[in-house]
Order: sequence, then structure tokens, then C-alpha cells
Amino acid sequence: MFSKITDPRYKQNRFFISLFTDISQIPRSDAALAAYEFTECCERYPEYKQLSSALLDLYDASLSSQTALFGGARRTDIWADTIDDRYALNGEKLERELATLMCDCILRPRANDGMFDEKTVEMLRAQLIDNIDSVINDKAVYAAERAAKTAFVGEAAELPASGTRENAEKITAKSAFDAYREILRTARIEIFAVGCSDFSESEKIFAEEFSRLDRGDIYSFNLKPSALKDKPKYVEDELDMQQAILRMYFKAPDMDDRPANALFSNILGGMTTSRFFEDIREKRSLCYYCGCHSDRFSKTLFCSAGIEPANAELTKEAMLVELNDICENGVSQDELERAKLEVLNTLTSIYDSSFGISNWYLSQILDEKFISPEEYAEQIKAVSPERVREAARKYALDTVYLLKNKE
Amino acid sequence: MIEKIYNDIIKETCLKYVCSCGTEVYMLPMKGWNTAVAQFTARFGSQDNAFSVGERLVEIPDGTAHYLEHKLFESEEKDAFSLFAQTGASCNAGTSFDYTQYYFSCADNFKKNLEILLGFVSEPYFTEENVEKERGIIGQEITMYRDNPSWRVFTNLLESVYSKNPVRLDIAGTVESIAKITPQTLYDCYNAFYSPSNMFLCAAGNIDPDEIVEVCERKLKKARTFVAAKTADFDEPYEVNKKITRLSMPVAKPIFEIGFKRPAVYKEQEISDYIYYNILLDMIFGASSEFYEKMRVNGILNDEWSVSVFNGRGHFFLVARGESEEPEKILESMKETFRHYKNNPPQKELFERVKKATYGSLVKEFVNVRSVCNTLSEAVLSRVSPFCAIELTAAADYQTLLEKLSDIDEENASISIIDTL
Repeated sequence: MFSKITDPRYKQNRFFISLFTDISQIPRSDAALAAYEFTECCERYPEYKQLSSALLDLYDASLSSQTALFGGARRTDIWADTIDDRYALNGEKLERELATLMCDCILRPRANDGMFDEKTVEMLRAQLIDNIDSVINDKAVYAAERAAKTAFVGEAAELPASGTRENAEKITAKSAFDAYREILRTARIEIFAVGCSDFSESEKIFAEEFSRLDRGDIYSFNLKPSALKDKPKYVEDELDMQQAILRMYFKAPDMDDRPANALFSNILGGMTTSRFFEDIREKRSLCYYCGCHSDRFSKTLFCSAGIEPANAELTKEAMLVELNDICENGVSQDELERAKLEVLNTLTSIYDSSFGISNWYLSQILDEKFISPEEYAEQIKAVSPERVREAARKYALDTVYLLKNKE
Repeated sequence: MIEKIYNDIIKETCLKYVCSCGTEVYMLPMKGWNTAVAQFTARFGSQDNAFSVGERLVEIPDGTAHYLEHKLFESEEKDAFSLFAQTGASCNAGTSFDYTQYYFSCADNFKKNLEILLGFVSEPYFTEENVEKERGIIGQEITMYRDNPSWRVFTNLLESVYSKNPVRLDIAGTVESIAKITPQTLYDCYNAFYSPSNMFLCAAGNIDPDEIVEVCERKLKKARTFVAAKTADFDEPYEVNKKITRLSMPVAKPIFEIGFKRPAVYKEQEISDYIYYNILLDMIFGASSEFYEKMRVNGILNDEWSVSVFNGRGHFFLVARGESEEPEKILESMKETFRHYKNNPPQKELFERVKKATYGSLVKEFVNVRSVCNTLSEAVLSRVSPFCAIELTAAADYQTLLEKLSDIDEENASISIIDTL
């Protein structure tokens, strides 16, 4: 499906191509490597150096790809942008060239006899393993990845989208190519163009190119909330580090009030006047950061804080106290208004960013119908303090994870 | 009087106004955009850990500028976050080596938000109690960064490259140094560096310039007595401080940063050198270079490789960063590559290609409100015109690039490595 937003304010044009596939059908690491291939080379530019030069010629066009989990599915994104043709110094047709280059990279990879080029796969496999291993370099991400093994055990989110080192080590030029072919055959494909162009030419290019694909068994979403455990699990890990990281997971499998839930998580820990920020950071000086956000697909509330190891229990209790207080006493009209203003400000800002507007619509791909930022704003305005309290009451503690320094 | 600064390449006009108190204001209205951003900047950063007032030399604990940034968010009645929460704006602040910046973005109530921003930055309120309360929070922030290998490899590089310039010290200081900060320290620094003429405001997006001028004139009246402070000269030697720094942390693979030190340059020369050296680095070490291709294919570098210029007041060096089992080999290869190109200049065609790409990346800085405001602030901080970078890029020539190349002293380099445990 091709969607576009033309806005003369933008000085550039950007394409997002999202391929949604079944996470259980195609091996994670093979699919991740296939995504690397999209930005590595293609038939037309068989070496990375050549592809990079082509991007320079398009006035420093960007070309990126990423594999992520999305509502229990795999989302493989490829996106590219460059400045609008009117800023090209020599009359180049940059938008058309960029659309063509993306098709080259996605549809005509450097492959022969049903497999990618072996040397390229060898290099990308090492790269993938480096990236999987390097999660330890960022302690917050490492803690999130480790905690997910408990919080989402048996579910798609238990493991990262790129899989494990062990999976990655087994990738071959053929297995990665098989994954690539299966992604293109079965993916739900969404192409999104945002910029100042009317995109008529690009739309034709993408329509013609993608129509040649051999398609079947198109993926359809099967969205399930994450299962709540009978009783909370407590897990601790140790690492050579100075600060400790606390992560708490609350789940609400029957959450059905999206706007109230969004406001609840903002009030609890999503803004600089949140309960967590004001009480745990500012009043008690327990941490530099302490916040939360909710995921409306898994119906999970993620809370985290960077703390002095000795303060772990104190911070956990403080987080529980704040959540329980909202469950029991609700929120004040004042803090609800502040949360609404913050969300409304964000919604108005969406149109000022090509990333923002495309993500707004792509994130609704699982919903029954699309709503505009203005429609969602009206829903936000209608939320009462009672609805926020009801949203809070739906959550129950599922997992507590602590990453701390080695004794 | 409002001065208009027009750029014909991107067809944008920036407005400049100097308030009666001396604060410079730069505004770039963007018709049809929903949001607006304002950034209020003091030319005071972590580098300024010593200054003179008359004949008196004042030495302050490391991390004071950052501490001051945290504490300015509080007033006698309400903190700045609470005030902005009433308008829906999002606000924050950041301290760098040579500046401290306070900013907000909003979709509505710009005038009210600007009044809040200028108000809290202009009205310091430090007490023993509120300064003490912040120590634990900042202590945790310092600890968080100490666990971050990307930050540690960079700060270690700064310490290796510079021997006197305080850019070598961590912006937030240490747990020990911030223990010495008192309300008086903060007031001394505020009075020395937050004077109207040492600050500037940049705003972009859905803004009304006349309204901004009115608010600035009203809110930025000199309400207190500032002292005339002079920042210390760094007297930095030409040579790098140390050739190598190593540290072990939990990382998957050794990470490194390499710095090629250059003398500090200022104003247009700083921006010009920044552009030429960025073009040069992209040409010979960038994604499309033979150097990177060889290193990738041989498994010495992966995709965590980048090259850039790091510059600011009194510091300027070329930096390369990446992950590798053989970081020192990369340093030697880079030196060898510089020597090779000095004897065999890179092709003019390649220069034109990278110059065009640099131009494209600069046009992209004008695609959203925040990046436009950032671009203005960066230019003002360097004391150049708002469109200086794009103008200098358009005028960049091959011969000058070769001169810049020959001017590199590839032996004047440091490497910082974080090894695996």
C-alpha cells in the first residue's frame, strides 16, 4: 500500500518502507541480516563503497534499515531521504533517483543461484554478531533485554528482533537469502512518502517495481496482550558497573481505554512533573532518571530508574506507592490537565516532522481504523480523572528486575 | 531595530535584534509550522573553571556550570518544570564545554513560555537546602555516565589530547568536586557569566518577532549587578598531552576514539576549517572511502565507524571513532593514509562529490524547527552569521582543501581505548 503526505513546508522528501512479517516463521537472525543487505549493496552497486558514493551523489541521501518487534510481529523498515529537487544545484531529479535506488536495494540484491554473495554475508554476519553482543555497552538497553526474558517469557518480545549470537553464527548465504525471499513474499508492505513533492512519479515507480514480486500467504496481524503472571517474578543480575538499574513491569491484559492509559503513564512517570519525577527524583533525590511509558499493544507499563544499589528496595517501594496512590485516590484535576496539555502539545507537533507523521500512521497499522492526531486529541480532552484511575487499577505487577554491580 | 539576514541558497531570512540590555536575539520565523523552539544560551560552560574579576582570580570546582544549570530550574515559588507544565511546553537544559543552554518547544502559548524561560534564567534562587538536595541527583547522573563506555572513551580522549584546556575535564565534574559547590559558588558564577551581554536567544518556527522583542525588552532588564569577568586563557601547548589512554569496562569489543589535534581557531576561520576538515575526513575515511572499504572487508572495522571534527572555544581536533580488536593498527593506518594523500592528492571529482553532499546535509538542517534553532545557536556561539556554514560550503575550493590536508600533523594524535574486561 502506498500512502503519501505532501506538505510544501518540507525541504526534503522521505520514503519509509515497512515490511511486517511473522516473527515465528522466519528465523530472527537471518531476517536481521537480510535487512542489513538492503543498505549494503545491490546488483547495480555491488560494493558498499559504490552504494555510499551513489548516496553522496544524491546530496548526502540517507539510507537505513532496521528490524524491530511490533505488536508481536517483525517490522523490517527501510527508509531514505534527500533534499527536494528544487535545491539540487544542477537540476538533478533526486526524488526519482532515490525511489529507484531503494527499489534496486530491496528488489535486486547482490545474489546468485538462490543465495547472497558469500563474502558479503560473512562480513554482515560478523557485524550482526557485534551488534548483538554490543548491547552490553549500553547498560539501560542491556537491562531491558535481560528483563524481557522474564517479563515476556514464551512471547515474541522475550528475545530481541535480531535473535541471539547462537542463531547469528549459523547464518549462511543461502539461509539469509531464503529469509529475504520469504519476507518479500509474505510481508504486509506499507510504503509511506512524506515531503514537499506530490510523489506521483515515485508512486508509479514503486507500484510497477513491487507488482513484479511473487507474493503469497500475506501476513496478517494476530495481536495479543502480554500474559500477566500469577504472581510477580523478581530477578537480579550482576555486572561490573557503578549504578544499579531497576526495571518494573506492570501488565493490564484487559486495558481498553487508550487515551486514559496514555495520560495515566504520563502522570505516573512520563513527564517532568510526573509523580516519579517530583517525588522520587526531586523530593527524595533517589535518582537522576526515573520514568515510565506504556505499550498499548502488549498492554504493559515499563518503569525504570538508575539508582544507587543500596536504594533499590526504597525506589521499588516508592514506585509502588505512587502507582497505588493513583489506584486508591485517583489523580488531581490539575495534574490531569498538565498531562493533557503535554500530550496535546506532542500531537500538534507531529505535523512538523516527517518522521513524526509517518510513525503516527504506521503505528496504527494494527488498529481497526486510522485516526488523525486531531481526532486523538479530542479523545484525550474527554478523559476524566475517574477514567485515569480505572486505567491505573487495571495494572498488576508482573516482573521486577534489578541489574546491579558485582559485590 | 531588527536587522534582516537573508540567504539566497535556502531562501530563508533570519532576523537579528540587540536588546537594550545587550542580549542578542536571532529569530527565524517559519510560516505554516505548528511548533516553535526557543534556546537561551549563556557563554559559560564546564571549561570556565577559573576566571578573573579585576585582579582577583576565582577558581571554582569542576562541574559548577552543570550544577548551576540544574539549580536555575528552581525559583522561590515553583520550579521551571511546573511553570512549563501549565502551558504544555516541553523544556530542558544542557551544559556543554563552552556554553549552557535552556530551551523549550511548544505548539501553543509561545509568548507565555518565553516569559517563563527568560524569567527563571534571570532569577536565580540558591539556598543551602536546595543546593544540597541536588547533590544526590547530580551524583547519580555522574555515576550513570561513568558506566557509559561511549562517554568514557570520549572524555578520556579529551584528557589525552589536552593538557591544560579544561575541556579535558568531565562536564558534570566528579562526586568529590561537586561536594565543594555552595550557594555562593553558584551566585559568583551567575553574576560573572549570566549577564545579558554574555547571553543570547535564538527562536525558530511559529514565532512573532515583534512579540519576542517586546518580551525580551521587558524581561531582560538588568535587575541585578553583574561583575566583569574574564575567562582564563588556556595556554594550551601544540602537542597532545598523551599518546594513549586505556581503560577496561564491560564492553563486547574494544571501542576507541582517535584525535588529531590542531590549533584552536575562531569565528569564520573556525567554521571554514570545520567544513574543510569534515569534507576531507569524509573523502579519505568516510563510508565511500577506500580506507573504510579495506578495513571493513578485512574485518578490522565494523559499521560503528565515524569521522568528524570536534571544535569549540579553544579546542579543535579531527576525531575518528569505532569498535575494533586492533585500535592501534587503525591509528597507524590513518597516519599512513594522511601521508599517502599528501603525496597523492585525492581527486578533485571526489572533492566535488563530497562538497555537494555536505551542502545537502546543511540544507537538511533547515527541515524542522528544532534543527533550525540549533543551527542558529551554533552559529551565534561561534560568533558568525547564521548562514555562514552553508555559504562557506558553497564557496569551498579544491586548492584550499589540499592546503588543509598538507597542514595536518598526523603524528600529533592521541588514542583512547576501552578494552574488554
